Amino acid sequence: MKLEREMMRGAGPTAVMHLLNSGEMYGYEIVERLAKQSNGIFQMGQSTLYPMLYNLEAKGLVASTNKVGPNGRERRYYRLTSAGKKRLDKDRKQWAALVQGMSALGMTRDAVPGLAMSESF
Amino acid sequence: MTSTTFQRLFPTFANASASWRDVLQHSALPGNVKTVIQTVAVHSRLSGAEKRDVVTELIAHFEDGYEQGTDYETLLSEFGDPLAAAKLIRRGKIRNRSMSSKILRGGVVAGIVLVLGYVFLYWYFHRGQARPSVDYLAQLNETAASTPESERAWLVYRDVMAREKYIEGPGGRFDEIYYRNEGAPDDMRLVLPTDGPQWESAVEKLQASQELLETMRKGGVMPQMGLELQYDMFGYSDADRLALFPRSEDAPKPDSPQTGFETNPMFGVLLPHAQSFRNSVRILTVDTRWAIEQRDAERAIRNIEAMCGMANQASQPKFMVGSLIGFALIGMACDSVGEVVQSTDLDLTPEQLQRIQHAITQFKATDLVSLKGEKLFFLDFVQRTYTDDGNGNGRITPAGMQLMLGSEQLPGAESLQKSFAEKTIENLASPLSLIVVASRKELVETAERVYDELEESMFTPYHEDEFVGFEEMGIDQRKFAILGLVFPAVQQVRVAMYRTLANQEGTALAIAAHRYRVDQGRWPSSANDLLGTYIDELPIDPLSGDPLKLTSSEQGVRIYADGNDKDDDGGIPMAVNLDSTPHKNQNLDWSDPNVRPLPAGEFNFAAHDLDGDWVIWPRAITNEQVLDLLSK
Repeated sequence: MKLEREMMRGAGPTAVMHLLNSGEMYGYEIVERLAKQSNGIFQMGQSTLYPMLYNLEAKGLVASTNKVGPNGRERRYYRLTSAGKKRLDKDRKQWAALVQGMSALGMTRDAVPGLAMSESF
Repeated sequence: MTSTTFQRLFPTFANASASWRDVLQHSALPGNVKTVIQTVAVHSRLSGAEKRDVVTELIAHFEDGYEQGTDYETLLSEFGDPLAAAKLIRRGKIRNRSMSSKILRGGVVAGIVLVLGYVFLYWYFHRGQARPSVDYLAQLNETAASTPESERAWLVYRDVMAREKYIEGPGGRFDEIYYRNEGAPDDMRLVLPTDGPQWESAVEKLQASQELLETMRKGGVMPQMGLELQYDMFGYSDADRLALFPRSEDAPKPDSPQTGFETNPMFGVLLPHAQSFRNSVRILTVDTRWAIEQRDAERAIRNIEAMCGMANQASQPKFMVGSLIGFALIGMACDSVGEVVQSTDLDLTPEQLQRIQHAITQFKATDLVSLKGEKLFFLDFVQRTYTDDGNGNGRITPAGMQLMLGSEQLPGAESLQKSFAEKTIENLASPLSLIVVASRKELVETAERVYDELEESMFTPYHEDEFVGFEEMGIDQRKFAILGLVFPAVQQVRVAMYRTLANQEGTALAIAAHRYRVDQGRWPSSANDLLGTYIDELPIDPLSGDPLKLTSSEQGVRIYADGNDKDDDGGIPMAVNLDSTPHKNQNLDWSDPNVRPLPAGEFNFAAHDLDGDWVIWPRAITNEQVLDLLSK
């Protein structure tokens, strides 16, 4: 089952910001960790990730820096800005309220464990 | 990499040394991965530096994935649609651009658009050409063209005029009719019977010109002139041309004269016949003096009838210049009427007086005016200065714009001398006229309204003072500047029209008084005595709107208007010095030879503060008559 595009459009950026809250990361690293930590639900390709990162950067929620990594190659690292942190806080509360509301409605009882994110997002 | 301000503002230049294609080519990725990244870069349509950033990041992504054990095929399948990625990346990157960069880019784009827009405008403006499609002169000539040859006065005049080499004014063919004061070269007038040898030579000349005079009398009483105007001298038949332009006999005729409306503007059309009428009426005036001397009332009356008819013919076709000449001729005819009716040598019968009265009011000044010619002139002007889209609309042409800016002028006017810099600026700025100047349709519609309002305004009684000119009509002078360029001097014509009307109706009133005297054996005590039998209505003083005043004494009647000061001075005229400057009448010595009464035809509506009345009758009032009035 694929997660609907509109739902993922709201959840994806929050998931990325949540991940970056633990420290700066480069693109592939974000893709990998999102997929692993979300049990494959946030499995997104580059065509989704990078536009999302550029949008977050345009909004001032993340910032990027080019650095030479341990393997000697140059990569672009993304980190959460203070504005991003505030936004993440706000999003967290919203998500908590949403999950709580959905649970109260009994929406989460039959949740599919292996739900994967749509590539078309 | 931390971007500097310069790099942010001018990323293309800052990173020009390493293009995204170089970066991609030097990567160790397999060809199919490179193709996907290239597809994304190309379709993102970002700047070179932005593409380079994206390409670098995607290369790193694939290399990271491969290093961590994922093969390229899997990485490619996880990548998604490259075209969709390109679109989203472009959107994200554009949002990510700095404000200054956005402003700069916007400015550059706006600048390019403006420059391209201007280039297009320049090209569009300069390819605009007028293509005249209507022969407005033919419309103006319609009446003349439809007049049967037997009713055309022109065909009566033509051959004799050509033979006589009929050139207007002193120094021309009839130089003898002008009196010259050897001591004062500027003191020139038509010769009088009291002028001794000069009068004798004038009579001699008239005697030798009997055929011409008789032709004038015959032609003058025909209501239709019947001359079809042409765009240029050589557009006329040889017979017409030699009569209208006697000096053209020796002029070389062009091999292929351009006589069509397509190449000849209507403002080049002359009214040669109208000019020659002035000379005709002068000759008739002198001949009338001779007729009085010979006690030939019939000839004198026929001369007056011809003069009045010529006033009507001079205004055909209806052009304001022709109307003004017609007014002048009526004024001259009124003066001759004065000489004939006041003469003691002619014992005019009531029927003869009635004929003169009929002649002087047969063609009233108000009938000689119409804006038809001016309107057609304007429409012709528009079709030569605007393009034509076939639906009544168009835009101003470069030639039309030059006329408006004064770089070119209508024939007869002097072009402004402009420097090269001024001309260059004008040339570059001219295309903007397409934005500012009215379109052909707007212009013609506005002109129609203006001409209609002017025509209505022109015939508003003068004393109501409700004339509305071009400036008062609330027309955007910048947008419709071209309309102002050829706008007729309507107010000037209107003043002349009302002055002439009062002059001719006042003269007719005086003739009516003479008829009354012949019938009743006494002068009428007021104008009301004449109403019904001798006149149909009382003539009006245009300045006050009241009837003209008529007073009588044993010597005759006096007809006058209160004049500029709107104050009744008992018929004492305004005074002028020999240099024709009007004077204030107070304490004026009328026995001073330098002071003379203002002739009726020279009355000026604008001289507001001058004392005295506008005396229409008696004509040619003398200082003795003024002194006689003052003594009473």
